[in-house]
Amino acid sequence: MSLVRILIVDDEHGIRWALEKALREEGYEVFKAASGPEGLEVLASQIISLILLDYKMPGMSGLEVLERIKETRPDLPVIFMTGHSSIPTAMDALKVGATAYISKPFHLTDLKETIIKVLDTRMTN
Amino acid sequence: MFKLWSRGIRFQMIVIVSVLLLVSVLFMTADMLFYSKADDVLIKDLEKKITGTVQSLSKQMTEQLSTQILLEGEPGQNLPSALEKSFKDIARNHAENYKGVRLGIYIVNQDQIFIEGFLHDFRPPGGEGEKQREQRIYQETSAGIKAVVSGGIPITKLGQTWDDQFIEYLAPIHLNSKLVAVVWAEERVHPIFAQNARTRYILRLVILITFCFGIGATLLSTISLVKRVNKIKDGLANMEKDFSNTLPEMTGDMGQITNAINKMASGLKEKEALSEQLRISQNLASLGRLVTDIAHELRNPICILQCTADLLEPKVKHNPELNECVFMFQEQLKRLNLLTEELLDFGRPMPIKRGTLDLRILLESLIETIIPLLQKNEITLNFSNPENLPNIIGNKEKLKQVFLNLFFNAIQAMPKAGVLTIQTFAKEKLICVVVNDTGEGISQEDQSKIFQPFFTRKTDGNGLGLAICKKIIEYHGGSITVESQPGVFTTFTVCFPIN
Repeated sequence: MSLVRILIVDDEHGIRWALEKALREEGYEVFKAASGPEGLEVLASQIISLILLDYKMPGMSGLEVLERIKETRPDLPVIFMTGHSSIPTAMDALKVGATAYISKPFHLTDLKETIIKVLDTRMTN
Repeated sequence: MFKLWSRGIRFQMIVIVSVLLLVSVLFMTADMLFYSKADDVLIKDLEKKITGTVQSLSKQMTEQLSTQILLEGEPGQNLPSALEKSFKDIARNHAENYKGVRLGIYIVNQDQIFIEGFLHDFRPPGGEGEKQREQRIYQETSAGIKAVVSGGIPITKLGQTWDDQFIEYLAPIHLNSKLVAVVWAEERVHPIFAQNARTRYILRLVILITFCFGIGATLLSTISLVKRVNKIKDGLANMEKDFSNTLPEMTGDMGQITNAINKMASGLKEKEALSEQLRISQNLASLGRLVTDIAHELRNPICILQCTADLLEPKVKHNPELNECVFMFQEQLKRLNLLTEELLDFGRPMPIKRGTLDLRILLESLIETIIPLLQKNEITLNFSNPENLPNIIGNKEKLKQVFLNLFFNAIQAMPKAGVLTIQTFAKEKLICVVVNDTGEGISQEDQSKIFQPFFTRKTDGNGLGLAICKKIIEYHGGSITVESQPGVFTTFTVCFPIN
């Protein structure tokens, strides 16, 4: 099994830190970006198999980043991280092309399950 | 008048009435003291004239008779006829020269009088005869005659009939120091004076009565006016405190004024209520936005804490002490999560999705879910839910949230058994649900605050439950009220307009 490389795009250092730690433990290779443009840069220079994308970021919003990703990598799975049960935002993200969404704050188990589900779908496709 | 018009209405009235009273009293006093003196002068004048006439008559008669006695000796039996003759001679002369005077003589022990002259120039044709006239005059004068006979000195008498006034002067005639006759003269005061005096008397009386009546009526109406004005004054002072304190009902012009003021006050009250409502809803809206922002800002730190705790949890499983710490973390994170959910719920605009709802079915399904809790707390349920209640229009999930909240509050208020009463009924164009518990109750002071966001007396509450309930109910066009007696009961009444 080839290594799954996950990019975390979130302006919050704590989130990046916690998710990196948790996902590394699960055996994923983790890349981090603190903003949308930085995330796009990483995406251009690295082979990424999944993106965890925050919705609310200063400067370029999660939705804009998602649109840009879809332009270059339409088949790349993106898990959108929204605020407290903000369903309308999640719906917008799905419309633009996000593969799944998870609302903050979440349990690690939920995140891990979502990642596995998304990757499984990708594999079967 | 200086600053009279700026003084109280009572003071103004007293001044006006006093001025009126003073002026009138002055005029009446002047009239009584000076102008009626004219009559007295006239009477004095007449009195002087007839006194002079009688004195001259009596002097001439005494001289004539004394001379007779000197020449012819004592008249004896002939004295009366001598007196009569002497009187007629002298008095006729006086009467002819002095028109309007009537002269008379009474001869002692003769019970007879003789008259010369007339009071009036006019005599009706076929009038009384000489004897009749003498008899009448004798009756009229007899009182005066008796007085002179018994007193022996002259008297003046002012006689009065309805429209006539006359003056009499009676004097005795002494012969040899013996009272032998009484002579008198009388004359009418001109009738115009008698009538004038009478008219003036009546006029004064009428003026006095009218004046008293006028003052009385003015005072009464002033007092009543002042009372009403004071009532309005006090009423307005009360109204200033609260627009629902209306002025008392009144009749007449004042009634129109109070009605207009009351109408204005109720308009202002309505306006005040509306602006208060607007203010509250604006406050709530801005509070809602603030709360949403805070909740959104909280989500990242909570998420980080949550993930960290999740990371830690499997690693400390075998260390009970650390495991306990992580458990505490997780518990508090759950609480923080719930709080942010509720904050967002409070700040979030209401859902648009609404449908026809049968409250009976909704309540029944909710009660089923709370039955285990009721049993656990030994609470007796008293549920009356009549069928055929009209439907309402609303969001089912939101209304479920409202009633669950009310039920949980009631259950929490009765930790050691109690009675929970839930009733539904239709009233006018409303359908109402009453939730009553026999728990600890809510103090009067707190009752006005419990619907405010973040107000709570619970140690583990966030003070949003009832605020959210109220928001949802008002979104449905309904109302929620509370009634409570600390230590006895608490009743929440929720009413919705019928579809």
